[in-house]
Amino acid sequence: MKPYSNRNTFHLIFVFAGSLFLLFVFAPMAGLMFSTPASKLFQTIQDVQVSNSIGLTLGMSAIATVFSSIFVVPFAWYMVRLGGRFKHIISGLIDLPMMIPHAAAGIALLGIVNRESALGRIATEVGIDFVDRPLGIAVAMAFVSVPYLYNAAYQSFSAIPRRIELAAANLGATPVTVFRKISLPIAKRGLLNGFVMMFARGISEFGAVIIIAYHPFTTPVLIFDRFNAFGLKEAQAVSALFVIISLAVFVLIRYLSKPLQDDRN
Amino acid sequence: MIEINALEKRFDHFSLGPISMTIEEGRHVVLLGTSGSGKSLLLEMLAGFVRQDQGSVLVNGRSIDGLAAHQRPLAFVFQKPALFPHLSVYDNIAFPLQLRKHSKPVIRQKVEELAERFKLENLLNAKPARLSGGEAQRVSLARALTTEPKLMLLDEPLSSLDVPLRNELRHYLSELNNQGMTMLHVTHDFEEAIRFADRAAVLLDGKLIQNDTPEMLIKQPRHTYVAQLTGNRNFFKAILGGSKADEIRKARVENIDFNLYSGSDAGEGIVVIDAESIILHKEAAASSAQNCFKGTIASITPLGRGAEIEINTGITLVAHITKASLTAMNLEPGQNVFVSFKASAIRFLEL
Repeated sequence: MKPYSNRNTFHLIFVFAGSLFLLFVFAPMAGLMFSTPASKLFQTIQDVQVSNSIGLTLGMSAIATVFSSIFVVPFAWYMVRLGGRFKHIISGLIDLPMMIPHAAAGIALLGIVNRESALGRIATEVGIDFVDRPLGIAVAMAFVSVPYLYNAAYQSFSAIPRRIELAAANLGATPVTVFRKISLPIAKRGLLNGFVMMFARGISEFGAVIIIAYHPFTTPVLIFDRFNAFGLKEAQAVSALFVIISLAVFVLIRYLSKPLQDDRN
Repeated sequence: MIEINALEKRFDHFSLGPISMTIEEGRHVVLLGTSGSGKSLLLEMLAGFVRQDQGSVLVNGRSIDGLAAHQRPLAFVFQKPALFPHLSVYDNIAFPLQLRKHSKPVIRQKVEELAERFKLENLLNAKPARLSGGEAQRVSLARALTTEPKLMLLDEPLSSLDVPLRNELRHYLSELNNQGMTMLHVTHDFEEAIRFADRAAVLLDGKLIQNDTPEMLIKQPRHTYVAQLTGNRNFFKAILGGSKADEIRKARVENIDFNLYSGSDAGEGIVVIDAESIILHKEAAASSAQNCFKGTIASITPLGRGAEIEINTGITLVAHITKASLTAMNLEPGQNVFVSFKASAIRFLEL
């Protein structure tokens, strides 16, 4: 019966490793939730600074995601169809903001949007300011989170067999119509995943945002500020509230995007 | 009429062409060749999916070289059905009509007509994922016809189907061709070619090596590859008699009757006799073979293994025998011999 006992040991190792992994992921979350009584959560939600920061964070991340998608989604479609080695180099460059320390990403971004830079000066002339402004927050969020949307879009469009798009062209669809009526609807699930990933990454961004805009407070910056000023307990309350609201938003997005019936595509 | 003039495409490790050929209106031309010979690439160039480096394509005397894929009056049917997975069968067929801004009643009428023709009435609301391979290819055909194309480009549309579905789709293609649709049909299956084609063009390593009627490919192959492709050279147009209930049926080729098994309907077709199955005798001998004919040896050609013997029995039959048999029987051109083969050695292909 040795093989059976071996398999059993093997199984136990996996269960043990898996349990440690799950504990590692969920223990801090559970600790955060249990550390904050409901009364404290209720008190925190009534704090205008907290509710403003949550609204600003969700709003700017949503704006960053929607605005980026206008450029990123068609570009990803085009890149899938582009031949040659350049596309791999470009895809590598697009991943860069994801790879570098986010404080460094913030510094890099501040270098081109500060009021003294060429772009900053032009923006100031037309009344746009990035530093310490909601717009700057959206730009910082977009900069570090857009690779998630690009990669999801690229993978979704790559999964569409070439012949389906060629068939549409053969039936009279222009490239724009092929994109709009064929590729986009087929890739919609993957794209939606990309939106959720980018949005999630955006709301959690701290490093790049704090460099561009310490004020107005996004929630991650506010958590940091509360921790510095008032300690762990205050920071935990804001964190717990933010986690609950973020989860609720994700569940809502998933629910709204769920197809009415399974079309097996 | 489609004229292909010196069409060329070059890649690092492969080049296609120059290819020149003419496809008369209403013809069914088969493009034969192994995979990698460039036949699908030629079709994709005609459809505008791939730009040629040189040469031109004329449809009814007008060049289509400057037209993008979506502007070309050619329908393309892919090897695997290329249906839009997010659209119902109805919307798939209606797609080209919606693009052309036809009114809803006109679209409905046209889709229903095509659905009836291709027996898709009960599937109009289904999504492609629920269709069988044969149903999906029927939808592809129906959808391709909505644009009223001048030429249909068929890229091995039968190869992904199993045999009964293949026969069904073959029937639709023949019917379309009989109604005047011009077709350029890629296949690597020679039997497919002789069933369908008015002409067959053979590609090898990107070059057009013969463009002829299927009969001429069999009788006068201009390249060893064509001879290999036709391989079994006993193909004859025949008329099958009797009914499905008969155990042994007769197929008449010119004025010779072959005995064979067949589950096909009586009528025109092609008989194929495997050259390896034909037995030669110097004397008439009683045997269980249902087919026995007297003939004269017309030629003996040595092959790598054995020899190929042409025997004139009123029609020319080709038999492959071993070198040992050739020596033992002391066969020579001009000798009278008897040929025999079993009823099961003959296949009848419906047209």
